[in-house]
Amino acid sequence: MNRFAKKEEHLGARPGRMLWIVGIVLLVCVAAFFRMRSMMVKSEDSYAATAQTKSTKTLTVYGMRGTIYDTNMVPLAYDRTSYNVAFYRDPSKASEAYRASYTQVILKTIELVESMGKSTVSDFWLVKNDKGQWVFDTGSGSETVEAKRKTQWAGNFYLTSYPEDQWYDLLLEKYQIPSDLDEETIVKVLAVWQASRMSAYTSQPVVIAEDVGFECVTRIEAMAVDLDGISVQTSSQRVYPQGSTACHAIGYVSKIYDDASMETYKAKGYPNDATVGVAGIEYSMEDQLSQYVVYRQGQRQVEVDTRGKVVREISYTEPQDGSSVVLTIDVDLQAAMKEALQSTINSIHREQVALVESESWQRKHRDELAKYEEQGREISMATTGAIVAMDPYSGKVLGMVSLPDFDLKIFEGGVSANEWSAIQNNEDNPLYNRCISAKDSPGSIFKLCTALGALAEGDLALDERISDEGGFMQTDPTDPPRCWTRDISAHQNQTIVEGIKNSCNYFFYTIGYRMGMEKINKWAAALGLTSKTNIELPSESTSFVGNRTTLYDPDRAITDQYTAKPLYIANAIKQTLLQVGEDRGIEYDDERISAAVKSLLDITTQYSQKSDWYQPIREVLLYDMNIPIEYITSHYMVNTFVTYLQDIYWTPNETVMLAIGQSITQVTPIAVARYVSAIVNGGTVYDAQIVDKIISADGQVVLDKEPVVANQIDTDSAYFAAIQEGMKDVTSEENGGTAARQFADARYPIAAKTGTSQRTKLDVENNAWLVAYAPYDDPKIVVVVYIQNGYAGSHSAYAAKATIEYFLDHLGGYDSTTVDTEYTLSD
Amino acid sequence: MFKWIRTLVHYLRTRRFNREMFRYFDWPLFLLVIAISLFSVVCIFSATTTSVTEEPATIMEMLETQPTSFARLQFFWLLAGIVAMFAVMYFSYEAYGRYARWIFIGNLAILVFVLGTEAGRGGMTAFFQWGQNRTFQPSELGKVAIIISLAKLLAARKTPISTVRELVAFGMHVAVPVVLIVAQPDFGTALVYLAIFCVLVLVSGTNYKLILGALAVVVLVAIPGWYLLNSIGSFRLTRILMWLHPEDYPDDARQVINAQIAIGSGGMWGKGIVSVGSFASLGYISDDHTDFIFAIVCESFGFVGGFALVLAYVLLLLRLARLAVKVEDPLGSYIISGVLAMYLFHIVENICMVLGLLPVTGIPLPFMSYGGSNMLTNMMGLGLVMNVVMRDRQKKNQLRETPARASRI
Repeated sequence: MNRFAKKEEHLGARPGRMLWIVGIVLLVCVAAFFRMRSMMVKSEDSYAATAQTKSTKTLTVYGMRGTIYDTNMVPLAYDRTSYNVAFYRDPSKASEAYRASYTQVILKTIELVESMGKSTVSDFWLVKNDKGQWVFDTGSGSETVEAKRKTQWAGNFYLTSYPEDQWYDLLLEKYQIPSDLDEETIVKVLAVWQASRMSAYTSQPVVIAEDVGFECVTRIEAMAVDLDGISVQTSSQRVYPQGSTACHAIGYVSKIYDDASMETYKAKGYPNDATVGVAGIEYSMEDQLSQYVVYRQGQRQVEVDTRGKVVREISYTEPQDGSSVVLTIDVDLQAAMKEALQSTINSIHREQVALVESESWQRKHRDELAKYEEQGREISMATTGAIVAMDPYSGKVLGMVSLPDFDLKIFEGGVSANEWSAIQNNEDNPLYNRCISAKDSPGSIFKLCTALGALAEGDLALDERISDEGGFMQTDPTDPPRCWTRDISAHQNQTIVEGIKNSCNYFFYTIGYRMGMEKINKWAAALGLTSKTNIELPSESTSFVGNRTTLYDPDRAITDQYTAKPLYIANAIKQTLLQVGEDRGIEYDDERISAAVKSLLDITTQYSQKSDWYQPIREVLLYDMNIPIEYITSHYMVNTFVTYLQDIYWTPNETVMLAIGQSITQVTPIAVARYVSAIVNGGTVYDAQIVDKIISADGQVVLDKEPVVANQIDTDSAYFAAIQEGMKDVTSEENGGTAARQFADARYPIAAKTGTSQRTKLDVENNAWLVAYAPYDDPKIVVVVYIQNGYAGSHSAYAAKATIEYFLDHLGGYDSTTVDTEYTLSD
Repeated sequence: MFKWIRTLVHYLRTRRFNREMFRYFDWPLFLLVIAISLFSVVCIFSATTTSVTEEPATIMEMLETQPTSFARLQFFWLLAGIVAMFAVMYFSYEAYGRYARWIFIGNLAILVFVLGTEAGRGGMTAFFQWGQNRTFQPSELGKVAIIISLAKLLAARKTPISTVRELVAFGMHVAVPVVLIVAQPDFGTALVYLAIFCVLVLVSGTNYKLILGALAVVVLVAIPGWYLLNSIGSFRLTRILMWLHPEDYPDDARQVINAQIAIGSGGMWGKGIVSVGSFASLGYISDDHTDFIFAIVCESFGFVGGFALVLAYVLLLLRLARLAVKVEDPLGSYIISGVLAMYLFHIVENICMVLGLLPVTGIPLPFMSYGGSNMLTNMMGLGLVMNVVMRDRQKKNQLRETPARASRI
């Protein structure tokens, strides 16, 4: 105290005042003590837990998509390892200087990736419009989607408070884009920044270039010091080694583009950038093939440093690859079938061109050609087609080719816009799988069904003989339908065998007339011609057979009928009514007209006799449309409408046309294949089957698919034998079968049936069908050929013959002894 | 002119260091600083480690597998700092006092000059470039200069500052360099200058009425200032808001948030110098070897290590306070108070900002943070203290001895 007092007299730091400083020091010390104690002693655990969650990440890891094999385990589609370049911005490096250096890194990376012939992400949502302004446009086409994305995008770039027209310039400034860059490069750089910003919430590197190749990886790793933020990720890439062979069956994969399916896939655990099957087996077996399904995902818990680099693996559960799918088809047979079908189509096309150019043909069709000229229509010729080969005893598809086809290789690594639009704009629609999606009128190949039905129902006896008498007078005496032949003397005293061999229309008119529409439909249904074959492929069409309902179904909307006929008629009636309104100066509202049209169409189903229609039609016009009776009579309106309506009225004439496969019946090649199989195997209708086995990643056979019997027809096997004999005679020269010439040089005994369905009045536009099986005495394969505008069924015989011969030569084991000897010799 | 130089040389010669003075060297202070500085070398090593998957078994393995460049450089700066300390001790502080005016003017000149250079790190015109990527920051050395200048001004007075006019006149001496530093702009360093000024005003015995009045004025200015910051959306305001609600600024407050997580996860004993998954090794705290070194101290050495460092600083500051009071010469006493003020502000602000008790300003922790300029400045400050203490003790001893000798004569 004494010393302090003495000190007070001098100048210099006053001890009393220094106590304040001491006080501050001690105060801060105590504050630090309590603060540190509360952080480090009391809540150590919670901080440690936070530290753990901050520095570790749980990454979902995926295996590879399953392989698709053909029946001999030849891979048709598989995944290979690929390398992606990813970018991650250290969140603590947010200053302008860091952004500038990241932009430089991005530029270097783009240059490097492009020097290897690959490209970086190109999605950038500011697009320059016609006026040269940069506007937000993600190209989704939906306003709500655009608005949602815009909010999110502007938020992620911190641009919400700025007007849209400044965004581009603000980004240039923010990311320190060098001013000497051309616009294309700027957009590439900004696309990378966009990818980074839009996934910033994941705190994980975002892929900016896919499948860059190993050389690029080594170069990036060599430059690692200069490429802060750039890393390489391992991924997988779909490969389609067979090119266009079996392309429709295999299908292809793609990124998920539409929001609705994105939701569905995300619910199953898929990531945003997943590739999923969008066609063929890739689509239908997605759940089996995909590596993204939750229970196949692996997890990797890792420690990452602030640059997003993984420094330590804490735990790892291995992902499971997707299961592999083994198909029933054979890739070599596919190739052979494709070649056979293509050359058949080409030769038919050549024949058609020659025919159309010939004078005699042009003279014969002069009137019709004039009409075509007037309407600007071109004559349709063979350019497309489908061929299906099936095992008759299981429904297994041995091969299926639809032409034109497309090269699956263009889908490896994502299809380019150019290639995609080329496919989309191709008039022949290469993506369309005609084997299962195309429906057309079957023509004479339907006669097998009529024949079986007639025999089984007792409307025809095996030994009964029917002679072609020219016009078939029972249904339409004024314009009796006739057989296709000009020489009816060859079609005399036919049993069912000859009927089929000759494909005699008169014969089938007769038995069809006896059976009636219901029975024919019953047997078509029994043979699987009115249902799906349930092949494991997407977008199979359902075949249907002509009857009152398929002609016009009053319970279906007018736009949703089996055929377009009711719609045409409805439109014609509507036009007439509108015309009436115009004449009378009345404007009918749309609803009223539609209701009247519907009432008129329904009349055809409510009265069995055409003569009963007049009164109700008149009533509709009188009361529903308020048209005066004088007007109706003076304009013969009722008669006009009866003429219209009789097109959707099922007449006996329609029944006999149904019996020969005309009418409105439409069938798919795959349905025909199983229908013929049922005829061949004696009445078992199988579901078509293209998936043979599913093998899980660990080699277990998860599913070994057994044939599924859709229907078993229980009737006398002699009936089948008679039909088979008829089919055999079709190819037999001594019996003068309809396709004898085409099969003359066949190396195996082949049975067949041709079908030529008329489309227009020009014969070259006829559709060609051909069904065949072989060997006749021990059937191994059923082949169906369908060529739209294929002129005549018999012309497509080559495709069937080549397919059968290739199959039996190589795969059928028909003459297996020779193969065995060859093996022993080489041993 | 020639004469002037001769006087100067004679003056300095009579006031240079002689070896006898070592008797009066303040070893506790020196050893405390050396201990902290050596600890700093270890902590900087810990802060600059790279991630490991398992802890190194031996020290040799640790040194072989981890980068040591920052730690070695810091050690070098420490040695350079000791040399600087002795250099400052060589001539008597009285000489510095005598030329305080020139030191002040020279300091201003160099601060003006640096404003003319090109903006460097962080957009600040605060550095002179030398060598490759090396910088020298004149405002760091200026701290020592301002301590001498203000101490001299106060020592020259016979009575404490007692009028507003005197306070304002005194304040102008600090206001000018502060304005120059704010213009760089470097608010953190400017605050250090203000802290030195405030402490000196306080300890020099300025009456409380004046101090309270001045505080009232500051508060009155601060309120509209706050609204101004608000309206221009300054990042300084953001820093204050970040301090209050770090969780609302996950991007900007990342450094503080991560620092606090690192501290908390250190626990009682810490994770060790090199540890698996430490924030130090993963680089989650930017500037963790400079401004945020205290977070690494706590993460690596836990509550025990961290609080030991705090206690070491308390000892250092209390020692300085004691020395300031004990020294009889007013100039010496004010110089020590100035150095004390400089350390105090740095230590309190730095530790509190890392602990989340104060908003973030980019100022380093004395003797701990990596950095040459700062180490040199602090060591020179220590040199000044030693300079004063040794010469003061020598004088006292001579006074005690002189009468005895006189009696003999």
